This record gives sequence, structure tokens and C-alpha cells, in this order.
Amino acid sequence: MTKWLDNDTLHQDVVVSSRTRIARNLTNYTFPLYMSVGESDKLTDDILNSMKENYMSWNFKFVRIRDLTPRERLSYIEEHLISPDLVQKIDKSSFLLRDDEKVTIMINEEDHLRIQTLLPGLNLTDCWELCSNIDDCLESELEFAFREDLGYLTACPTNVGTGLRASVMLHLPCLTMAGNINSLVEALRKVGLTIRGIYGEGSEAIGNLYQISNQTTLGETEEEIIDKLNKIITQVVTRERNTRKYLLENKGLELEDRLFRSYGILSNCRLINSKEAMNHLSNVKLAYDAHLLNDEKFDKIIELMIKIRPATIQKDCNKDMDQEERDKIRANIIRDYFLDMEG
Amino acid sequence: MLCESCHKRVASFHFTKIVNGQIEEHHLCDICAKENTDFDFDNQFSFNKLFTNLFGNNEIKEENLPDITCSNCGLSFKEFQETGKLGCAKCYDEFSLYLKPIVKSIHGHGRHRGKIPKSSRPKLNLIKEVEGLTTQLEDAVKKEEFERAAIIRDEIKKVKEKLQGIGSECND
Repeated sequence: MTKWLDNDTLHQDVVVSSRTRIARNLTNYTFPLYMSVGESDKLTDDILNSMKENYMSWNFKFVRIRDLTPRERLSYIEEHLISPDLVQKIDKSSFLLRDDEKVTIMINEEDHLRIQTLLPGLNLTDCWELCSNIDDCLESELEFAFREDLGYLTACPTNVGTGLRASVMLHLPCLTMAGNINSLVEALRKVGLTIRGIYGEGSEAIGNLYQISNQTTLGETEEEIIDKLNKIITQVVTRERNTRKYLLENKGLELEDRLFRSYGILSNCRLINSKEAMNHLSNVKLAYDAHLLNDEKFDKIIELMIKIRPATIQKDCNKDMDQEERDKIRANIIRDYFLDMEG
Repeated sequence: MLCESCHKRVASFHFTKIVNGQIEEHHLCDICAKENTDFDFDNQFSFNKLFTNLFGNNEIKEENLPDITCSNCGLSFKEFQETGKLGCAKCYDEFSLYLKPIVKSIHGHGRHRGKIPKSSRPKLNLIKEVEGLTTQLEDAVKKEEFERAAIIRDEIKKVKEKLQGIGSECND
């Protein structure tokens, strides 16, 4: 798992990954929320049949949500491979996952089709190109609901038009430390973008991981949406880097102390909950990206962050656990990772 | 401070109620507060209520919401308002009058400018051609170039015929 994180990429010190997803619906079917299980099975067959020609060459595996255990479902969500909404309609939903995990085609999420592409680093242009190619392949066999004035028709009017949601996951520890996130929220809103924490609720962002995405889907072309995001993200990256530089130059010792304390805790913990672990891992990632830690294996911190999420731990161990047991296993996984570094 | 209802757990909700000028203070724990009908514990940020607010802006009051139903999927406009989700692609046509202002207030735009499915491209090109020719026709009439206007008018007629042909092929 987490194969989608492979490859070295642009701005990896701040940008974790780029994602695009497009919403598409077929003309002749009721939208997923109102469709019967029988109808959804027929739609799923239609989609699979349309892909038959390409199925093997694309190397997709097909998974029905009803065939997964609850913890397997959650684990796919934690790995960002499917959306939380996909598992809401257990009997109707399914997905196709490409073996490099960079493409997921979700069937009967809020819309009949959600095509998602996920690439590491700042890579929205490639993401969109890949997404659009898959869209073209599907469109050659299926009739998508489309109107000249409103574009692609979606179950919720908030997605109508391009149906495109492009987003970038960023690690912003120093902008968070400096208390700049609120002003960033305001600034982004003015240009039609939103920012939210990846994990955690409300304004709290566990592990200092954020997602910036476009808010509207009608009126701009896909290229304009991508271009705007690219420009804004580049500015946010520069801000984060400048803040890191400022903190290192002016509060260097305090910052180093904070980061190496996290290193110490993670190397020695015996029980650690998810939130505490994420925040310390964020510090270690920052130490690596700021060249305070040099072992190259630390560039896999994001993978480790996913591996220690509650459902992924349980899926990897193949059993249900209470919180204390999870905290113990989590501490073991992290210590092993850090010991391996030192060894 | 203990919860005034169960007298067991610590009170974490403190509120003041004013009824007919009478001030009452209440202190409840999480669990009893949830059972208290004075609170609306619809914690999930309710998206559908956002839609209701959009209607407010469009001068459609809840009591006189349009009583229309999609002829294709049977979804009523009221159901759409409750769930925030449309029933099928045809709903966009059937509810067009009421949906368009909503779409515009969500996106700030009313017209798609992005990707077009290959199957719709020939039709759309013809529509654009008609739009272009119509502008030319208006220009010709304005300049009193009636001969040119007649040629353009015939051209528009031809393109419209082609457009109708495509429409019936697609069963549109």
C-alpha cells in the first residue's frame, strides 16, 4: 500500500501529494442516492462492460464495498485511495483501483463515477491529464450527462460544470507554529480556494497536514482551475519555506530542541496515541526537510503516518483491537522504524 | 459542578434560558444535554440548510416552494431541497427555472467553459456557429446591408437544420 507515494517530486519538502477527481453521471440512470440496489448492480455491470476492452491493459482491480470488512474499508480511506462517502452506501458502491494506486474509479459514490488520480508532490497538471485520459476512455463507451450551459451534470449542484475538484496536500508546520493558518484561510477564500486539515476535526490539523482545493466548478476551464491552484500553492510553499528559514535563523535552538524531543519520544515510546504520534512525526519530517536529520529513510515519514492510522494498524495485523493495544502496536511500529534508521 | 439532571456526571453545558422575562440557568452533562430538547444537536454541519438559505436569497419562501416533480425520476423539488441532491440528469431540465439561480449563487458563474464530451462536440460547434452568425446578422441589419443579411439568414437556417438532425440522431 501507499504505492502512490513512490517517485521523487517537486517541492517534496512541503507538498505531499496532488489529487484530482472528476464527477460523471450516466444519462439513463437515477443518481446513486435514490437508486435501488438492482439498478446499481446494472449500472456497475454497464461500467465494467464498457471497460472490458481496456480492463486488463489498465491493470485495475475491482472491489465491491460490501465484500470488504469495516476495517478494510476504513483502511482504504486512511490511505486516501477512496473517499469516506463511498462506504456510506454499502450495497451499491464499488471501486476500481489501478495497481500502482495512482488511479481510483469510484462507482456510486455521490455520483455514478468519480475518477480520482493521486500523485506525489506538486503534480496537478499530470494528475489532470491522467484523469482526463481515463474520462475519454470511459466516455467512448458510456453516455455522460452533459448540458452545454451547465457542463457535466452532478447529483449535487455544487459539483456541476467541470465536476473537477483539484487538491494538494501540504505539510505546513512552520506556518502553523507562526499562527498564520487563519490568515491563509481568509486569503484563499478570496480567490475561490479552501483549506482544511487532513486529519482532525474543525480547524485542528493533526500532523500539520492540510489540503487546499478549488471551491467552485462552474465558469472556469479545468486548465484555469489547475493553473490557479499551481500558482497559489507555489506561493504557499515559498511562505512555509521562508517561515522555516526565519525560525531556524532566529529561534534555531528552540526549534531544534522541539524537533529532537519528538525524535526522542518516537524512538522510545511504548504506548502512543494517533494524535500524539502524528504531531511528533510532523516534527521529525520538518527536521529532515530542514536538513537537521540526514538519514534518507526519513523521506518516508508520510508513509509511516498512514501506516499508524487506527484502521490501517488493525488491517495490517488482521484483527480488531482496543485503543490500548493499538497504542502499543503503534509505538512498536514507530520504534522499529526509528531503530532501523539508527542501525 | 454536577449535572442538574442526572446528578452523576460533571456538567459541561451551561446555558441561560429566558422565558416570558423569567431567567433560568441550567447546567447539564454531555449526555443529558443531548436529550434536552432545547438544543438542536444536529451537529453534522447540515449542508441542506445552506440550500434553504440560498432560496431565501432568491425570494422563494419555504411555504410557497414550487410543487413540481421530475417526470423522469419522480423526485419532487421539496425532496431535493431536503437532501440537496438531485435525482437524475433530467432534474436539471425539469427544475431549471429554480435551479439556475441556485447554481449561479454557488459558483458565481452560470455557464460551463470547460471540457466537452466528444459526443457533444459536433452539436456544440453548430450551436456556436449559429451564435456567431446571429451576431453577424444583427450587425448587417444595423448597417442596413440587407443583401448580406439575407445570405446570413439562409446560412443560419441551414445550420439549424443540421442541428435538428443531430438532435434527433441523439434522441435528444
